[in-house]
Amino acid sequence: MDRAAAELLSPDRAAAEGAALGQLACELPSGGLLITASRLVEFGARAAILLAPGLFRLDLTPREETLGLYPRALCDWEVEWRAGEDSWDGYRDPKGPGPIELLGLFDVPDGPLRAWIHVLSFTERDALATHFVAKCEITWTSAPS
Amino acid sequence: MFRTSFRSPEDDREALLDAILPLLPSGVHEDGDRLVTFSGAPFSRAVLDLLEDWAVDEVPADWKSRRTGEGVVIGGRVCIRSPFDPPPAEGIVDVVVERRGSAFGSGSHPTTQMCVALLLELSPDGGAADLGCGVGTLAIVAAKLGWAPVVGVDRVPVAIEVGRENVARNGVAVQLEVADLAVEPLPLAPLLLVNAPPPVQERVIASMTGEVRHVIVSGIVADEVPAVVAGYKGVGFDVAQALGTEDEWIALRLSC
Repeated sequence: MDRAAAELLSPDRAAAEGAALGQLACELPSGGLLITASRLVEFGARAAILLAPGLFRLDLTPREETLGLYPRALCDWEVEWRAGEDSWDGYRDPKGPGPIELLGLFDVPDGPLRAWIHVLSFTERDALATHFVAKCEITWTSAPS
Repeated sequence: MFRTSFRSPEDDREALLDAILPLLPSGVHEDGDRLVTFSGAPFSRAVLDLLEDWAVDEVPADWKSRRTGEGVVIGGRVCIRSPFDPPPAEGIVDVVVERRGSAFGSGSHPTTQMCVALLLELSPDGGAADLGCGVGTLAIVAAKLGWAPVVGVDRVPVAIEVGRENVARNGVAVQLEVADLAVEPLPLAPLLLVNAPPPVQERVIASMTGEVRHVIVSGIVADEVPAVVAGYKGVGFDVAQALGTEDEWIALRLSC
């Protein structure tokens, strides 16, 4: 694994570049990167929730009954995004907040990287805002070459 | 608190967002070809100089509670909004009103909106008086539509205080005064705007003169309509148009 590829999973870099967002990062015990953040976002605002330097940024726009998801690739590699069907209606589930799950696959030359994103949302209607708690696990799908 | 807006052409927006969103935890609001962000401290001049066509407005810390809603466009011709909502499309009369405390007339209530809808059916023809004017919304709309001179009265001092600020904000000539419509003389004009409960309507009817040609009435519910209409008919007015809402608010345009 070359230095550039290793930088993609650097907790220090993720914490530093996401510092303004209050983002935290650490190495996963089994290898890989974990980043987490929480944020109160006003209805209608587009805000960055997670930032994986060199890979992607996840922006969210909460509205009263819908949620805008903007996974933004920050790399030139081919990227595939998938959303778990079970989580599509999680944002407006009347029984309580359901998690939103996204899976991103990055075709990095050293081997595909997998980003699993999990977002919990709590809408505060009086504040016209939604509180998000998000985490992302970024791991190699196979041992890097 | 500071509201900073700047131009961001849509075809170049994602690149700009890549640069600024990691620095703005509260995110940005997209407003046509502009982006808007709110911050507790103003951006430094060095940052502003990196932005295109920027503008910074200081907004009160409680600006959210002073919003009137999302702004409303009535009849496709008049927009009533708070200073914290984006302006309407070109060609729509832009009425910017702020409320404070319990002062009425922000434009969010259906009776205010119905009164504006009925007002739009008339061609400006002289002066107008807004009786129970609240923060001056209907008086300002009338002035912007071409009625002159326009006066407004309300018994709530804070409403008149805010109303005068709204008049200045909209750049119109409207005279607002504190007056108790139950006991003090009513200002009359060819057009009366009376978004007020039945006792005020009775007072207007009792004060009617030949100078008045149209009365736009609201602030009444369905059960109160027969008595109010009978009163105005007694002084020579007929119902020319009526509007209502599902929750029984009624608005009438009476003319003679």
